[in-house]
Amino acid sequence: MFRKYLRLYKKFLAQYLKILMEYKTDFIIGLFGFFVVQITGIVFLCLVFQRIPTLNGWSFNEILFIYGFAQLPRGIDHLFTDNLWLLSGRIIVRGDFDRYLLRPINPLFHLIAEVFQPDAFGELIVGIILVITSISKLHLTFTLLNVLTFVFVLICGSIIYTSIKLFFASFAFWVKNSQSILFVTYSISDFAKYPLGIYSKPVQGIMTFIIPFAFTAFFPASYFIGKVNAQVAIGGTFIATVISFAIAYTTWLLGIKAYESAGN
Amino acid sequence: MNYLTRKLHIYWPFSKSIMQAMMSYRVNFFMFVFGNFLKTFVVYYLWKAVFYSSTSSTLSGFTLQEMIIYIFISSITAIAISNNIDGLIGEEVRDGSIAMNLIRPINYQVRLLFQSFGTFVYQFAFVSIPIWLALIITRYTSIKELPPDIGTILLFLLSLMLGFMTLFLFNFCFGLLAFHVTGMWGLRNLKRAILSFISGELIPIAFFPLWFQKGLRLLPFSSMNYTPVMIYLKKLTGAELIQTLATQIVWIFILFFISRWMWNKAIKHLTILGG
Repeated sequence: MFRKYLRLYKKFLAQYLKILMEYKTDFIIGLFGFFVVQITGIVFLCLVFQRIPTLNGWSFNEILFIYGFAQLPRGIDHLFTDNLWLLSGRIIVRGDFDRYLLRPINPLFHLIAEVFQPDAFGELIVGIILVITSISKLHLTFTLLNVLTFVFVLICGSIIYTSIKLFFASFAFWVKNSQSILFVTYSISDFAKYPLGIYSKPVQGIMTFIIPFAFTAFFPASYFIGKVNAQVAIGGTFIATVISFAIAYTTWLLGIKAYESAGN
Repeated sequence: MNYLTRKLHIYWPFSKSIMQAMMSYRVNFFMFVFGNFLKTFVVYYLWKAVFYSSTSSTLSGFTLQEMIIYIFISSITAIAISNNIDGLIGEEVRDGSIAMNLIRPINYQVRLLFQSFGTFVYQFAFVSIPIWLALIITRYTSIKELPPDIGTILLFLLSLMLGFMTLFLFNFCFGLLAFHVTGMWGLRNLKRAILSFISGELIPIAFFPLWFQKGLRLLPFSSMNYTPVMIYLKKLTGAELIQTLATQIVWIFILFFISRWMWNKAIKHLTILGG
């Protein structure tokens, strides 16, 4: 079962890479665009930190670590599940969703496997550079257990991103086009790049309990810095992941049931 | 005058139809504006934390209160003047509909100007003014701060209009790149990121190193955001104010000539297949 899907994914990916090779410059420009977007955020921090020693109790390198960490789950999700944007925007309006229901594979897998978004490397490259440099500057020691934990929370964070996107994209099954509401919720992820403490209490509450972007970066990243304990950082992240995914996938399944094709 | 009213009669419907289109898709429009506005709040909280962490009460000449006004006025300025002319030109080039627009007896650039103006009026009236009023009311009820005098507001509006023209012409030139490249989506993303940075939308230009500030003062980008906001904050006065407004006007002329030149070049090498 799993191997079948892996083989299928490779086939989808190969098709996608052929398209990519056709439009090489577009790909490089797209990647560079996302790269620069994130770089401007870092330059902003550099300019600001020339004037203050610490921000709300966080040093420059700690902030960079959180900022860089935040790019990783965001980038991973962006790389694999970009088609959810099209689901919310036009796949359902045009009745194109029929196609996914007719094939003998899981429709969600099919939808996701169809698009591979290399623009995401812009975010991933920034994230990796920041995380590696800030780890060495902060003198964090990474044991094998820490590395495994890192990978684990990264996967959880990516699933949280995907779940939030899936949940709001699935609204399109009822309202036909849910791209604007998806855009609004996705924009909230911008709050995740900085320490949660700088926000007002209601914003902190939303980020933790309602749209749990705080678990994609701030909590796990602060755990590695040693400012949040393991229960909250790892346990909390795991619970947030399971709950978000369960809610999102159920909504998706209900949505498929409610789906009416655009008939003629 | 007769000539002008006749022209206005021809082109005004383009402004009107854009406003009507935005009105019919208002739910989507306001959701997207709201999504972008959330980013303003991130910046707001960030600056608050920065000022609380700082030992001095001013940073690069800004107090926290001034910075808060800067953030929100800068945001409503950016929302008011934004247009997607570059994306529109890109699409028309890609699907060939630009050919139809070339054979019509209307000036393509003027048509787009009126379209952007429609967008501007709509965004200004339905987004900028409500946010501005909310800001004024919040400031008055929390710290008894009054809005700036009417003269300052008029100067701000003048500078805002000049910023609108600058961004329009810049986007027009940028959109013409679609004649040469295909990846406009990524390119526009890149442009947006750089513009928000060097126009002062993300961070006041006063925070940059001096040599960089000097360079940016000579370029047209600060005209799109930094200049109007600084006028609103009364940080530009006297000779400096006149000089900055003059820079804005000079750049409109320069960008206009660049856009004519790029347009003529693009039209010469345009080939449209079929028909």
